[in-house]
Amino acid sequence: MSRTPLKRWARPRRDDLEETYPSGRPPFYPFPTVSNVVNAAFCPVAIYHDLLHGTYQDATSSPTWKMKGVGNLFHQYIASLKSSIATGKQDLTGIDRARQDFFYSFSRNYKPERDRDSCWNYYLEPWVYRKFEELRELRREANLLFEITISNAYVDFVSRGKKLTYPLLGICDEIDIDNKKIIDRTIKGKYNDDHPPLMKDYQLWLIWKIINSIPRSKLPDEVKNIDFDEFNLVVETPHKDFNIDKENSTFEELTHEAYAWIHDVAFERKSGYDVFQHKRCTRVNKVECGLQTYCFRRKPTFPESRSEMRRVFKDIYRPLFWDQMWNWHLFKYQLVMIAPSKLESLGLLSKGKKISSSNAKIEIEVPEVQADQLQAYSEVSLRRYTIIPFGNFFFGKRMGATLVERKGNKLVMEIPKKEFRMSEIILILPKSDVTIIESPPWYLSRNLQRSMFSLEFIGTKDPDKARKDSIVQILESLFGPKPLRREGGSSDQ
Amino acid sequence: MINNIKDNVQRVIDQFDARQQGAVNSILDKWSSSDGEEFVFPIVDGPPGTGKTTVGTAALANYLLENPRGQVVYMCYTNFATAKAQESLYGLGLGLNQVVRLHANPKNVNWNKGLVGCTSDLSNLSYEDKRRLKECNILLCTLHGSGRASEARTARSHIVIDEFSQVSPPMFFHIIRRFRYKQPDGYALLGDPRQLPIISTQLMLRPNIGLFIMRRKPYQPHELVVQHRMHEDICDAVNSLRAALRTYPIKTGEDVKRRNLIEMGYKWAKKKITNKNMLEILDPEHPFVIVDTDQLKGAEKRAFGGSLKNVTEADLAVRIAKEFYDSYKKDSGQHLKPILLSPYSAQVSEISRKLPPELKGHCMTIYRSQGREYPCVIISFVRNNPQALIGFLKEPQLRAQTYVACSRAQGKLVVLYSRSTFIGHGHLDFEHLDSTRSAYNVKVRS
Repeated sequence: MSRTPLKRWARPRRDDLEETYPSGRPPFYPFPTVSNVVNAAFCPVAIYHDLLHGTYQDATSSPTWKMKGVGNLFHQYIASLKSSIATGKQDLTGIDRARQDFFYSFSRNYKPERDRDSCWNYYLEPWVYRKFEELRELRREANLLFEITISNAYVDFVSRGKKLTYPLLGICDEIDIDNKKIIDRTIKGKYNDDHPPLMKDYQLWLIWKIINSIPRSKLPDEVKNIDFDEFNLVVETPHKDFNIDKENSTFEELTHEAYAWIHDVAFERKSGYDVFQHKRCTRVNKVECGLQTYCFRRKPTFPESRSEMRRVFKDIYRPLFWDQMWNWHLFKYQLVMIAPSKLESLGLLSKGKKISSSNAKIEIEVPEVQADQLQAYSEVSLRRYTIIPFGNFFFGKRMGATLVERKGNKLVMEIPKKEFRMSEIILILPKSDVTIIESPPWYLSRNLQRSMFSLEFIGTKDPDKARKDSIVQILESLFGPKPLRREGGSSDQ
Repeated sequence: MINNIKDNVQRVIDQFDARQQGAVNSILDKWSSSDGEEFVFPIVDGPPGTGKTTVGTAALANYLLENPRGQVVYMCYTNFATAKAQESLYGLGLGLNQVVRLHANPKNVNWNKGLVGCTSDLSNLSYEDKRRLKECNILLCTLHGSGRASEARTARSHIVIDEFSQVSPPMFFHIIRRFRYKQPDGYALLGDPRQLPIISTQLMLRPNIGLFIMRRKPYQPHELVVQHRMHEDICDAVNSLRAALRTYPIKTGEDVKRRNLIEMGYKWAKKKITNKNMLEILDPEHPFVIVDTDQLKGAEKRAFGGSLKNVTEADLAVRIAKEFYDSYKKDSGQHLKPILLSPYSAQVSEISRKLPPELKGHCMTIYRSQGREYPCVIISFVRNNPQALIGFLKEPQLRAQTYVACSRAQGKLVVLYSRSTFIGHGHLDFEHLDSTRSAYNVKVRS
């Protein structure tokens, strides 16, 4: 794969950042996540599927749908176990205790149970065995941060001696401040591996690049004086730990190419041809990739109008992505490019004071006028918001919260039952409604992309079955020559 | 019980005109035509008040009478619209085991109210709950919740989508995809293609599924032309806006032609009102009143969230609402509670804050008001600036807000706007509205 790097990455101008009625092709480039960049670096087809077809999986994820959510359970459990030990709520006396008392109560709502057991047997048990002594020695009040969202509009990368900056957002699995470690965990990997699982080293390196690029003045007070440049990067699999080298010119070059692909896929109608010219594997020469089911699907004979359907859909995928750029990528830019006071005046942020928190509920005091407006937003957002209980938009813990009650200018919100650090000032973001127009949440348009892409492959090769298949027939009538009629009884329309 | 439903449905259908009856008979037609050459796809174009939902629910009940084991998924854009359809079906005599509304909140499960909150894979429901859902004839859900309905449905159900003006082609294909393995027996769309549009930053995504189909294929939908909601003066205003939107005019049913607030059973205590302007505004003989707010000392302001508000216009709207409440009463002692609408959420917050306790909750954005109707509607259009800018109210995508807001009123419509901002500057909808023959114009002073 090779792609000429871009000369610069266009970010929104001031006018765009405060745009109230956005429309058309965005005048700024996307604000990618670490997953987007890893996909683009891995294979251009992966980023094409990611941005335009709204794929669930990443190129580096497991290629099957088996044991869906197990990776998440693995991460959540380790975060919860370590937090509980660090806060003194749990004492780890043996492996059995980690499983019986802690894992089963922690994962009791996880279904199916078979997958839950597999998660323990295949991934957690080897990890707990390996880390048992380390866990026992974990001291009270250990300085651990889990699932921290990090974001910056200007992350430095060097290209042929020249420094270029790109925007990037990622989530860091764990930052162990006492032991100076930034950790990325995965359920992939085997006992006898000599290298970290595919692209995981690159993923962690990107996360470190973001953290390192955030100016100290923008970091929350709690971590302002920490030099993250000194931290070790560790990829943890259930079976092994891998230390990652921070100086890596291959990763630098890979990143420039990845951003060039992201730009081209986002804006160039003809990029599809280039993308498939540079694909990483073929039907007979496959590489390990989470998107194999997307790349190598068969297309049945019926509906016969599939090519017309694809033509129409192709014209829709990119506008759906641009819609996401206006609704979500612009929002990511706004959060790190606009001063918090301006964000407040634009209604994109409300700063609240924590009054109390218990039983997965938090009471937050906000200015009266903001309470009115947040409540008005709740009508369109199913009362759901994003809150940042610790940190800020550059470096902070983000989580979903549901408004359950309003008492004057105090809002009571329901939050996930988790151990996490909480500041006195809580930031509240209306999660889905970032414009004043009541638009559906951005992630729903990814669902639409995914469904349409999936429809491109439905059908049957049996003509009799096709005649009786109402989905095939509705597509034939909308995209093919089959006529439409408004009444079934007679044909005299 | 079946006889009871039969009588109720027959009574409703008997009141329908020929076009409505035609729509009732065809909405639940199977997709395969008798000769197998065509795809049967009923689309009902029903402007405001023409009884789309009534036609839809009557068709559903009628279908169940003929097919007691038949299954239908009825989808609307909002939870409010699904609740309204459910109410209408219960009103026809259908029972809790026949009609269930699905909701996104898994904690919200109440079979006694026909409400089942569930996750998209129904994993929070017991085996018994899932069985009950599968046996239930009609499932109501929002468009975004179609995954739940598809999980809960057995094969071969009908899919009916209400308010298709808010359904984009991608959304429609998303629903089709969801029902891929359930092989629906038929599909139908109900709605008014000119009502609230799809919100998107992309021109390509704005046409709704009805327009998408009608642009691709020669197709004539069922057009409902008689409305049974608005007084004829209000219908005049709505027809002016329909003319601006370049579509056919609707007629007023005889039952509502002269139905002002007095005909709706309210008594007006005229003597209580001393202000001349207020008398003119409140007079039931003027069902459609335009209030020019130019003389008020006030202008629009940007509020928290980027939305706009106009404090003096909000004050006036609240004052008018209070006067309506105080001076109109039914014999039963029930006061008239007007509804206040605005296209701007900041104005809604401003008005809501100022409303007296007895009118709390009677103010909302125009977006939320779609699918609802009220005896008396007061609209505050907010904009007041020397540049005559009216923002999104003139954008092709969002101008339907004016049309939707005006068509919510049954017996009284009061529109507040600054004439110098809205009139004489080529804002087509407002020029048409202003020139409505039945409009009664009032100028208020501060």
